Amino acid sequence: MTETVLDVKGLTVDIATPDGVVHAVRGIDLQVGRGEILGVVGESGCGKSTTIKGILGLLGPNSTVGADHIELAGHGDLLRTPAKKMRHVRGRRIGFVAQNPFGSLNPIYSIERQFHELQKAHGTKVSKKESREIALGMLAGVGIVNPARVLDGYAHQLSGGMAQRVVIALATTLSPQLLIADEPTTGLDVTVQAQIMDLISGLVRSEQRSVLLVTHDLGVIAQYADRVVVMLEGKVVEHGSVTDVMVDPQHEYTQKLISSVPKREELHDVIG
Amino acid sequence: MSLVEVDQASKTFASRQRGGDPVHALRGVSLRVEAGETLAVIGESGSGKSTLGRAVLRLLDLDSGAVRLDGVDLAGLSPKELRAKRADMQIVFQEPYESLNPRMSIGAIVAEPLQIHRSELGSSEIRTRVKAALERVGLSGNTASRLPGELSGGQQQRVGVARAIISEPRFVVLDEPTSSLDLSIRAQILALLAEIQQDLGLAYLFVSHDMHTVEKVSDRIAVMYLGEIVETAPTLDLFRSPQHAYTRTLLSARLSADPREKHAYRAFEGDREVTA
Repeated sequence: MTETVLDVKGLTVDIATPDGVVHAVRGIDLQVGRGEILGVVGESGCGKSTTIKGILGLLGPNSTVGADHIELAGHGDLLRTPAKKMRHVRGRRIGFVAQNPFGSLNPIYSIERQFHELQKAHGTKVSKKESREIALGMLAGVGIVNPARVLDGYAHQLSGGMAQRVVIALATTLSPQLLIADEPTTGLDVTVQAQIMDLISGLVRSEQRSVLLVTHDLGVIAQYADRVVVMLEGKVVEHGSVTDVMVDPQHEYTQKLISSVPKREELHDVIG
Repeated sequence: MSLVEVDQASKTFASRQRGGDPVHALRGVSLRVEAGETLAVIGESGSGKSTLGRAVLRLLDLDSGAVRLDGVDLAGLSPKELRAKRADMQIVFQEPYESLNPRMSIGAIVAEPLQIHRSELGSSEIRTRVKAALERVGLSGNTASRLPGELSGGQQQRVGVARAIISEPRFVVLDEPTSSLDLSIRAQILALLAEIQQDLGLAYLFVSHDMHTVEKVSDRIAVMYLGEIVETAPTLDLFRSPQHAYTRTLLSARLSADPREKHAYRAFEGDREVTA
C-alpha cells in the first residue's frame, strides 16, 4: 500500500439497549490506501454497518465509540473531531453511498436543488447557476444520458440504478478523497449492479480515490476489491489481498462463507 | 402431458401513473414443468417473472392463454374446485416474515392448509402432522407455540416451507425464497428444498434473479426479459452456450467469488439503463 488515507485502530462500539450493553464492534483495525478499494465482508449482525457509522460519527446517543485513533489523511483524528465539524468531513472529505438510494435522496426536492443544498451546506459559495453546471457534469460522469432531465426531476421518477448513480454523483461532487459505500448494489438488478460497480471502480482508478466497500456479496468483493477484511461478531477474523483471502482462506469462518453456496452435486448431501 | 403447462399466457396491467403506458407483464409465455423437476425462471425487476409465478397458481387471472395442472385448465374451475386444487399447488414467498401472520402461532400458521384442504382430520391428527412438518424442515416440534417474530429469518423461511408442503402438493412455486437471507442460511434453505424435493417428488418453479442460485438448484432455466421468455434450456447448456443476447448479458453480469475468474460486463443493446 502506498499512502494510507484512512487508518482505524482499535475501533469499538458499545450500544446500550434495554437488555444491557451490546458490544457490536470489538476492536477493529482497518487501513484504506490511496487508489484502493477495501472490502469489508460479513453476514447480518457482524457489525460491518456499525463500523462505518462509527467512523462517520453517525451513531445515536445510545452508542459509545472508542478507538486508539480514526485517522483521516489531511484532516486528523475523526474520533476527536467535534460533531459540528464532522458535518463538514462528511460530504467534503468522505462521501457516503448507502444501500437504498431513495433513503438518501430527498423526495420533495428536485435533484438540482439537492446538488445546490450540498454546496450550501459546505459553504462553497457556489452560485445556483454554477451548481447546475457542476451537477450536469457530475451526472454525465456517472453515465446518465440526459442529465438536464434528471436534474429537473425528482427521486421517484428514477429507477433504482439511476437513483444510485445520482447518489454517487452527489457523494463525489465535492471530491472527497474517501468514498464509503454500504451495500451500494444490494437490491439492484445484476446487470445494473455490474454497471454501478464498474462506475465506482472507474472513479477509484482514474482519480486515485479510495473506497471502503461494505457488502455481504462475495462476488462483488472478489471482482472489485483490492484487499478484504472479513468480519464476524464484531471482530476481524481474516484480512489480506482479495486473491489470498478468497482463493486460499485461512480462517474457518471465511472458508465456510466462501463455500456457502454449495456445488450442485453437493446439494443433495447437505443436511438441511 | 406435463404436470404444469402454460400456453401463450398474457397479462397487462394498467399503468399506475395517469396517462402512462400499460405494462405488458406477460407477452405470450409458454412453458412446461415436469413432475419432480425444477424449472428456474430468471429475470430482472420488471421482467414479469413474479407475475408468471402468480399466474401459474391462478393467484391472478390471465388476459389470455391457459395454465393447466395435470391437464386441467385452472381458469375453467369453479371457486370451490380451484380451492380443492390448491392443495396440490403451493407457494413459498420471498419475504418470510411478511408472509407469516405476526399474531398467529407457528403451529396455527402451518395447520391452516390442513384445516382448509383436509377438514376431515381431527385436531389431534392435525397437531401430529404439524409437528412432523416442522421437524421435516428442521424445526423442533415446540416451535409450534411460538410467534413468527420470535424466530430468525432462516427459521421463518423454514416455517414457510412447512406450510407449503403440509398439504402434500406436487407442485410448489418458490418466489425468490432465499434472496432476503444471509449466505450461509441461504445454503441451508436451498439444501432443505432439494432434500424435500427428492423425498416427496415435488416439482418446483423457482423464480429468481440470482444466477448463482439457479445454477445450483435447477434442471432447466427459462430466461425472461420484458414479459417474454427469450430462452429455455437445460441448466448446463444455458451456462455453456447461451443463445440469446440478453442471456449472455445476464451471464456476463455474474460476479464470481473467485477473483481469478475476471468478469467483463457486456451491455445488452436493449438494456433499459443504457437507453434510459
